[in-house]
Amino acid sequence: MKPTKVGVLGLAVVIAAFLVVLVLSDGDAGVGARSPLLGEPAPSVVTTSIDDVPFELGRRKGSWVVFNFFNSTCVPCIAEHPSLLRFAEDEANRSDGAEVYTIVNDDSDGAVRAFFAANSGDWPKLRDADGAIAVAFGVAKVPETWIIDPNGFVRLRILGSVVDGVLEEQMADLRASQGE
Amino acid sequence: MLLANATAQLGRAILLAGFLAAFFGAFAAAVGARRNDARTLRFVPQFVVVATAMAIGAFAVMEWAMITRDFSLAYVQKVGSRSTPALYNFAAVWSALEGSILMWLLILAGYVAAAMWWMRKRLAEPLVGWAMAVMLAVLAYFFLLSFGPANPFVIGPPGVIDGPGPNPLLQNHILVMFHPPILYLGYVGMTVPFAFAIAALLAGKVEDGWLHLTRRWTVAAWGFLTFGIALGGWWSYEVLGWSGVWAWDPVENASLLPWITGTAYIHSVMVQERRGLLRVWNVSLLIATFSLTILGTFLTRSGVLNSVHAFSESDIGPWLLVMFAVIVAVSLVLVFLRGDQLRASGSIDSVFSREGAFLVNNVLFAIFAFVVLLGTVFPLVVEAIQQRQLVVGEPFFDQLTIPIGLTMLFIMAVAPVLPWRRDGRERMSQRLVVPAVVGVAALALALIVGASGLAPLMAFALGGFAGGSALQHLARAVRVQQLRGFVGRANGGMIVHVGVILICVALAASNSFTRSQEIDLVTGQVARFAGHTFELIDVVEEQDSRSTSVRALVSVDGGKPYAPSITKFTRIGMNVGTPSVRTSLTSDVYLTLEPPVRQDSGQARIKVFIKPMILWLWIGTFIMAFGTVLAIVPSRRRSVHEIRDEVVGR
Amino acid sequence: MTKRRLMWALIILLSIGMLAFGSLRDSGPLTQQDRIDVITKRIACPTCDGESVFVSRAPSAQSIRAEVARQVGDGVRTDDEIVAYIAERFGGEVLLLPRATGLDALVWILPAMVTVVLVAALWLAFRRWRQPVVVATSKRSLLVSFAIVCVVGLGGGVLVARQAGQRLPLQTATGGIEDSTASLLAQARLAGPTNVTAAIELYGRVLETDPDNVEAVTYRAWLIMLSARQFDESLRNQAFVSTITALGRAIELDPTYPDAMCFLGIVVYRDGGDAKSAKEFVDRCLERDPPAEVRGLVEALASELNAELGE
Repeated sequence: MKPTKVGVLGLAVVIAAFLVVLVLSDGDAGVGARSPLLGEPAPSVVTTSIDDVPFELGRRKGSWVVFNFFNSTCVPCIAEHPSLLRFAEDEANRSDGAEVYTIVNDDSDGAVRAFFAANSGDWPKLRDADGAIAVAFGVAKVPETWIIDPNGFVRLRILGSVVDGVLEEQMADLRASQGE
Repeated sequence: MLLANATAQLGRAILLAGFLAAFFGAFAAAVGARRNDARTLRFVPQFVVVATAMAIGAFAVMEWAMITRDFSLAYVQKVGSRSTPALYNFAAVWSALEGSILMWLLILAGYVAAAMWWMRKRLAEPLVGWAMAVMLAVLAYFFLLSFGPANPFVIGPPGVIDGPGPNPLLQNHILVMFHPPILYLGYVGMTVPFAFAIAALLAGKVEDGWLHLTRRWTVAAWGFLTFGIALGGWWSYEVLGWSGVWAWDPVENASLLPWITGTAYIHSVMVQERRGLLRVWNVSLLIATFSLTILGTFLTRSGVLNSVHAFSESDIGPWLLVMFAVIVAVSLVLVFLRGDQLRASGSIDSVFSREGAFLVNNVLFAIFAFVVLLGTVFPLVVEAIQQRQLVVGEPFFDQLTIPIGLTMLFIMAVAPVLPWRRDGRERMSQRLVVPAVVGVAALALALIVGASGLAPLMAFALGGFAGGSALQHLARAVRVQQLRGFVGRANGGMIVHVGVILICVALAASNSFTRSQEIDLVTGQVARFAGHTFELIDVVEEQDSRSTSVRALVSVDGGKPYAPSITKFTRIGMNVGTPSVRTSLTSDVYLTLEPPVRQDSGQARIKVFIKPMILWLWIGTFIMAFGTVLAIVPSRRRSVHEIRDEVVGR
Repeated sequence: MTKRRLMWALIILLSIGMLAFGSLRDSGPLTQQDRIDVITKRIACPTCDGESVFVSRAPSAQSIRAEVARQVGDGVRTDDEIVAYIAERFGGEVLLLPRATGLDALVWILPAMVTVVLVAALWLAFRRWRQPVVVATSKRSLLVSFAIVCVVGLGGGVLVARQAGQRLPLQTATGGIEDSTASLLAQARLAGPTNVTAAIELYGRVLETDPDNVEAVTYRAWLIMLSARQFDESLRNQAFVSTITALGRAIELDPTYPDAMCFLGIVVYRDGGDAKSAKEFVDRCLERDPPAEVRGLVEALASELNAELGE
């Protein structure tokens, strides 16, 4: 065969393979809640709440801890608030109830206080100056909800708004797997 | 119901009519060309006229809907707003997917009509007939795209009386709104030479006549593409506020790829015209250029490359992919079947001849294109194989393209002095002395100014070398031909080279020697950085229904205040920073306002970039544009080859 | 002729000399800002399409810039280590520079291979054009040279990848991370309920490097007491004394730590039988809001104590 024909055939094979790749990649890689931290000890978090109460995550070993990364102007954060309220209330009534914390992302103490005054939710709101906690967890975009087990291991990451009932369901699953 | 949405109905009807006209036009042209039947071919112009009219009509209807703020249309709901100023509102038509396909359609129809007008006396020839068939087929497909997956005339949910307007990033400068049309003039213009290349293969008319026919079209389209890319860089620098002109993101790469293969073609086609060699290669480059424009459109419009925007509103992706596959498949089959007829008997005897240099240049461009394409699609490959996300970013492209660019500068210096057909080593050693001295002088100057680092210094030295060579060529041409020495492909091309060299040198300088610093300013206190003083005069807050913007008035070196700002679009949840730049020939002082923004505190954090030689990027761009125009103007001297072809062709 | 040769020699020598001088000369130290810029250019903003953190104005990019600035300011980590830190938190997809290992290395190797192949093809083409007669090269020698070209390309590509690819120092680090306090505490915590001896040992290892670690002091003491309960009186007494001392020390180190206070209450009552002191400790512990597990232990005890003291 002539070199031109060999070249054309070779090129055809390469381009066909390339097309297969393009067809396979539909862009939806499942932006699911993956994180390198899942199953790993949680990063250390030392901060204060907006009421100046000190907080250290290492001291909360023994409790389930739920971190909700939040900003009072972010629409999905506002949307998920009722679900979060219900969840927190249920948990507060359990003996091994999870502790819910809001981690304030790029927002002022005043705005956060005003939001919670208007929408209720009496759990601690933790300051995150410069987003250091968000970076430590690898938070891409608020809202994100993370669950840390009583041994201090990161167990779950939820991206975006939590839908009603999802947190309850996930907590039940996690508790069951922890009991084993 | 019919009356209520008359606009939408009208728009769709026009698109359908346009599709039918283009489709049957393509059919008629193909049949006519196949049977070599002049009577059938005579119908083609009528179809072209109708299709073009329909493309203009569809665009006009969309504009009308936008201007009258007809919020019954989903598209107007998406990009229209009662508060958008008239000019931005006009340009808002092409600020989202459906409208941009409509714009593509309009420009394509314009090109088809122009090509037909220009070929009006030769429409009976099979070559022209096949070319019209290919162009009309592409046009028909775009009508189909606009009628089907990217239909702008979809009726939106009722009751909407106002919309968000176009993306705020696109509303900062009116030139930005004209960036897409200019880029499209480049992309779409590549359809014409592509159509003639395919026609030459189909007609089995493999002499080089079609090359002369399409040369100017290619150069013109290439010029628009260049200018469009440069405008994108300017926008990135003046508006986006990260102080750079090029970030190697997929959208930018998609526009660069056809530019690279197009540039390679413009060079290697000269070998074919002069020597009749590299025919298969040239046809392949044209095919590659056109299919890369389609691939680029697919990559950027279908959402495969940006996982964040995975939920693309349109399902145009598969359509473009099918188009890409068909173009590539048809072209490969044609080259496979006809390739041997294309093979020339001649040979290139020496690397040190002009044609040898062009060949080396083409190998470099091929590597360049491969690197850019690989880096752009590699995330897709990894995703397909390992289901994980990956980004290939600026550092990758920088590391691999800098050596390629430096080698290109070297070739750019050497090639213009090389003779056709023979070993030019002797000529090199004679004629390159002056350029080499210029290169050494440039290097010395750079060292005196304080430059360091191997890559930028080589860029300066080779830039001087290549610049000296180009100027020397121009000087010789002017001595022989007086003012005509600036005109024509070779001379105009040298002017383009000067522009390219300026851009390379400016990129090397601004990328390597930028100094930056974040500074916390307090009103009334003077801060110093890199020999400049910065004083905060005031922090001003402005608020309107859509956004809050904060601008810091900063006096640089005691002069008039510059006002970098941050605008927070509350509804969209987007922060847009706008820089403020003091430009001069040697260096720019580039200011951005940085978060956290504290109003009423008399404080502001700014970031200062001192960027050398940025202005020369834009000067180089204009020199390139100017040179392109001069290269299109015909030069008086014509080669025997050219004249023979014209005579034989008739 | 010779004059021109001399000229060229001079030009080449001069430019090599100046290039050498220019690339070796000290351009001054990198400022912190320079380092921040260099590092942030290597990290992709997690919420934008391929934009680097340096470029992006998105909030997540802002936070990462701040974190990088902080770590550069601390001056403890190298550039590579800071990039690795961010990649550990956000995942490998934030690395803008592809890695030099695994599938990712292909992105470095392929361009080198293509370059070598194209240059070889060009060389072959020129050779054929120059000597069209000798073209009759055998298929075998063609194959061999193709293989050689491929191998050279591959080798070059691997070199490029090594040279230019992303380096992540922490990935290759040995031991360092596993022996860190946080990791030992986590392991101890996991071992606690099933393997008390191992947990005690792990807490002990923490105390070797970090003697004032309150968590380790507290839980080690508590676990020692728990395990001593199954043994005879004298051992229990010994453990009781040491546990009380250790818990006391923990409270001294961090008076706000609820766990130590709770454990003290439990131990004082269950093993020392002193309900009154236990009550005080338990009350203080509850004031300090202990985590759920500890609270569960203590609340049961509190009601028991109330019943006993109420009598």
